Amino acid sequence: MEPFDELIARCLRREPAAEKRLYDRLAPVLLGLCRRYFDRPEDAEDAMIQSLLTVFEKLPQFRYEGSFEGWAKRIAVHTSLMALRQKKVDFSSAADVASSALPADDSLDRAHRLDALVACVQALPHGYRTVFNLYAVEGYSHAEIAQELGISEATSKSQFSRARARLQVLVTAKGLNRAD
Amino acid sequence: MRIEDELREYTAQPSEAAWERFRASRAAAGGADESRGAAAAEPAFGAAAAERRPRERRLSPLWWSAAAGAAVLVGALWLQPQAPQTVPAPGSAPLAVPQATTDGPPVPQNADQNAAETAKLVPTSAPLFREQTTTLAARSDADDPAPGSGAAAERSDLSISSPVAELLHNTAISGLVVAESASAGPKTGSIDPSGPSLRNDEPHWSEPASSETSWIRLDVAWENGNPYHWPVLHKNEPADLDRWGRTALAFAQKQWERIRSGEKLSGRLPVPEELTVTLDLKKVSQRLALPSLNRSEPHPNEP
Repeated sequence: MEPFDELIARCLRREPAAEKRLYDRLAPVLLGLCRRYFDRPEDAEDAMIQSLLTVFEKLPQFRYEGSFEGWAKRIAVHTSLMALRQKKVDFSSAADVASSALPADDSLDRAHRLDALVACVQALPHGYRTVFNLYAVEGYSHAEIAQELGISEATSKSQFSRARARLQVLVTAKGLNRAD
Repeated sequence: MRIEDELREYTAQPSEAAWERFRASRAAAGGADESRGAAAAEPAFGAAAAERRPRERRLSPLWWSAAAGAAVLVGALWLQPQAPQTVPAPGSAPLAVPQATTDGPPVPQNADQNAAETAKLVPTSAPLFREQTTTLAARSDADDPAPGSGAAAERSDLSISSPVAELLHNTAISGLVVAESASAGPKTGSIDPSGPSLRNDEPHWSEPASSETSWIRLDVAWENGNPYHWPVLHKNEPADLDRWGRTALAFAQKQWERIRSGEKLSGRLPVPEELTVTLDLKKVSQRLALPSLNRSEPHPNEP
């Protein structure tokens, strides 16, 4: 697999093949990330495309000081949060979303299991889901989350606590907590 | 494995349509310069893209330095001592510029004439447009009387030697001389008939009433000297050429007015008799051949 450094260099030279290759490398990762923030697949794909546009646009600014994929993911997180804000999501709310997306299949292979896990996350209320993603998956601190979402740190903590509890219920109900 | 670790590894295959949408957005945004177009191409995130724009306007130090070099050059041209001096141009002949080295007063030029002359003097030698180290010596010639201003009036001509002259004449130096001439001696016109009249194109310009006419003599010579490093004067946007040019010219104009008012400048801005500046002539030409000077935007570093 072509290293990101070389791919980036070729993209900076505006080589279409390299751009397609970089897209193919990043798109699944970023779409997976965006899916955790949006319950509607089309919203997640919108966010993924916007994230990739930003990544390509900011390529000349990438300093090779860390993981390129991590850098792209941060852009995707930021883009997703902006999109949620634009949708006027109340991050401190605990309003439920439809849980019909939850899978009913009990015998799940790994890919399906991951899909089911993400579906559980998507079933969380917006506020719970966003805080859970930022804290548990992305590694933000509660202070950073509070600043990013415009909520208090205490709200962030309580949202995370409730999100985890709700997620545990969902995961247990679907038999997803069997994996090591 | 914890759930959050599993979630971190989660990927999803986008649809084929996603690639097409991505490509279309990139194309609509104008390829390498898509930074401004991305917002329009993706209406769902228009506000997000718009929010990014201010951050993209940050400047790199290289641009600041380039801006500073040319801006200080402008100021230095107005700060030269009045004692006549000659800086020979090795191996170069005087540039045949109409009225450039005459002893008589400059003839007023209108905008049409200026534009026509400018068109005639566009350099044809592409290799000239590269980074050069150029020695510039700007000075006033007090020996020549200025019309309508008495014996004490300043007087200067444009005397540029080729091949540098031919380049500079159409680029930064020409623009600067014209800028000075247009601002300092509007009643007698420009000494450089090839350059555009800044005054004519600048609606915000307000010329202080003065009967005194001033010129600057400008000699250009190649020299393998050390480049003079100027301080950064202004943080401007690399893409905003108009603002860059206006800032540079406004700074020069301000300095010039201070000299004319009798104020002694010291310390911050050096006044070398001979100035060596390394500059990208092509960039300078792009930036300073701007027929505008907005005095409503004073230079922030000006005292």
